[in-house]
Amino acid sequence: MSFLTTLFEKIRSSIWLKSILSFVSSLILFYFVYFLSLANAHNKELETVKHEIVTRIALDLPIIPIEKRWLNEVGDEEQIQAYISLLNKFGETQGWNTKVTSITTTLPSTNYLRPHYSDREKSSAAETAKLEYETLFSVEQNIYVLFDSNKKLPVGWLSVFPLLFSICLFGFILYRDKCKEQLKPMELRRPQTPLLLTIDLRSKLLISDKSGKETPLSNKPLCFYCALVEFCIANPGVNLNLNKDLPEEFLLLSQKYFYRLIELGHTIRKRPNFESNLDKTLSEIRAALEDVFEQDIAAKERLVPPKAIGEGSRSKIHSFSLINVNQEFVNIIGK
Amino acid sequence: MHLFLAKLHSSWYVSFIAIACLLLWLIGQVGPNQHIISLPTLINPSMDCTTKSISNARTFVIYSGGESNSTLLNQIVCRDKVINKQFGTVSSYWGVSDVNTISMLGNGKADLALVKENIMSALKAEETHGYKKVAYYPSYQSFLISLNEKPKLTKEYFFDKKIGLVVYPTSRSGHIVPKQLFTRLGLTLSRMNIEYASTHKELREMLISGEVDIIASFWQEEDAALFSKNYTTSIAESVSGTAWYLRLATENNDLLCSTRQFLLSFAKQQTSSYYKSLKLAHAPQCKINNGGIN
Repeated sequence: MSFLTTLFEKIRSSIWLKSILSFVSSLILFYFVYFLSLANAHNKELETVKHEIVTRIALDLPIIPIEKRWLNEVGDEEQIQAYISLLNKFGETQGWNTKVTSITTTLPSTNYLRPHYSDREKSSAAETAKLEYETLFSVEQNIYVLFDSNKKLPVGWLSVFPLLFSICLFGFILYRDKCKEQLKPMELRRPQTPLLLTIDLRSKLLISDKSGKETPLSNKPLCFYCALVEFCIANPGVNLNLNKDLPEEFLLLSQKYFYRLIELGHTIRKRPNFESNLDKTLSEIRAALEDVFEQDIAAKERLVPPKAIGEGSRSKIHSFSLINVNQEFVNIIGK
Repeated sequence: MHLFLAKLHSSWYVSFIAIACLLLWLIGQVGPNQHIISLPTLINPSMDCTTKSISNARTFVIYSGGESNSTLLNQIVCRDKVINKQFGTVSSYWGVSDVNTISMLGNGKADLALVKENIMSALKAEETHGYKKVAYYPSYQSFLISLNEKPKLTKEYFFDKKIGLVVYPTSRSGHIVPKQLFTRLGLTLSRMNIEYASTHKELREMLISGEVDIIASFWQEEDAALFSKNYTTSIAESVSGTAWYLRLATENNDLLCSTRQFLLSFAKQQTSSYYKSLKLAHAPQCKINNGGIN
């Protein structure tokens, strides 16, 4: 199922792939439906024609000199053939696909009725089985009308319709997706980047690059978070614990960002103590990121400082460092 | 998966595909022949013509064989003065079969009919419906005809021969007379090698193509071009020909005389020498007597 989903996602992401795939699959479906309908109508036509012919023959039986064994009459093959050609000539003028080949009192082979038959008889039985015929149950004898039908489907100019429909579908999908693309906001239309979060120091905003949502963050957590990101990128796999002192390097980074904020004119206060109230700072950061990322779980995994789970928030082993962070994910503007 | 289905369900292109499929089904139905009409009667062995007496509801029914001949006769009769006075319609019927012949004459439907004398006597239609012989074709001989030897009338001779006969059991030279001969010779008909043809003409074609060795038929002048008279054996001296019978319930002499008249002009227009040699029956009340053109 996951394979299907990924495949579906992949197809969705490429307009051309999507269009061509829909074109091909719809073409197959459309021709299937079309030929099914055609075969249905064609068979119906053949059946109706046969019915009409058999009705005519049944009505004409008294004047056709067919063999009547019960009266010792041998029949007149010549006249029967003339009658058949009359029938077929009429059928030709109507464009019928069914022809009468013979009107007879015996099928070409009835050997299959015997319980023990040879291979040769078997093959002729197969021949008989393939025969197309209707039986007229007449007085004292059966009369068989043998047909030869043209089973080939009448594929005319109408057969271009399935192709036309498929082209329509192809065009629609292509056109619609192009339009969608045009309607997308500018930043979304940019080629996809792994960038998840932009931190704007000038406006003190956290901006999600995917949804474009913004959330303000106050000075201290902002500096702390910027320092955390930069520190974790510089020292992958570092362990930052609530109960231990923060590394000197980390504090320097935080101060650096704070000075930058002063430069930008956001504050005139002296720098705060970044080591105090770590819990509060972290939860402010988490709340802001939660607000920015909303449902984007992948971004949260990478950029939200992990919470202590189970072992208690004051656990000695809990680390709030960003483990999966990378330079590509975060962009800090106004450094 | 449910999400996937829900997405599919709500998509616009599902609607498009569904509508397209429906349209394609309808288009597919249009393709083949939609209007299949019932077969009309293909064989119509009759024709009518109306005379100048439009208000006259009486019909003069002619029963004879052959479409072209019947059409010709119908035209001739339609122009006849007496017919124009006495009848409103002339109706010709040429669907000749033994069953039809018996019905036409046995029920007294036909006014003028071309029938073999043996059938007429079997039906006793002359007494029942007042049929009168007005003209007849001469009697003829019945022959066994072969291509390269003179047929012998012995039992052994027929053992390994394929014989061509006419299929209709009322044909004398082509069916009755040869079968009488075979029975007289003590041959079992069902064991013999007999091929049937529907006409005497077809019988001759069968002999030429080699389908049969011997045929039973009459001899006509035209045959000399294809066969040798030396290689024929007569099996019956005189077989009476067919005859034209007119139903005359009353003393309608005008009709009788004009019938003789138009039958003669009909005979003149025939191509076959045999059918040209029509002879009129004795009728003292008419001016033209026995004017057979022979």
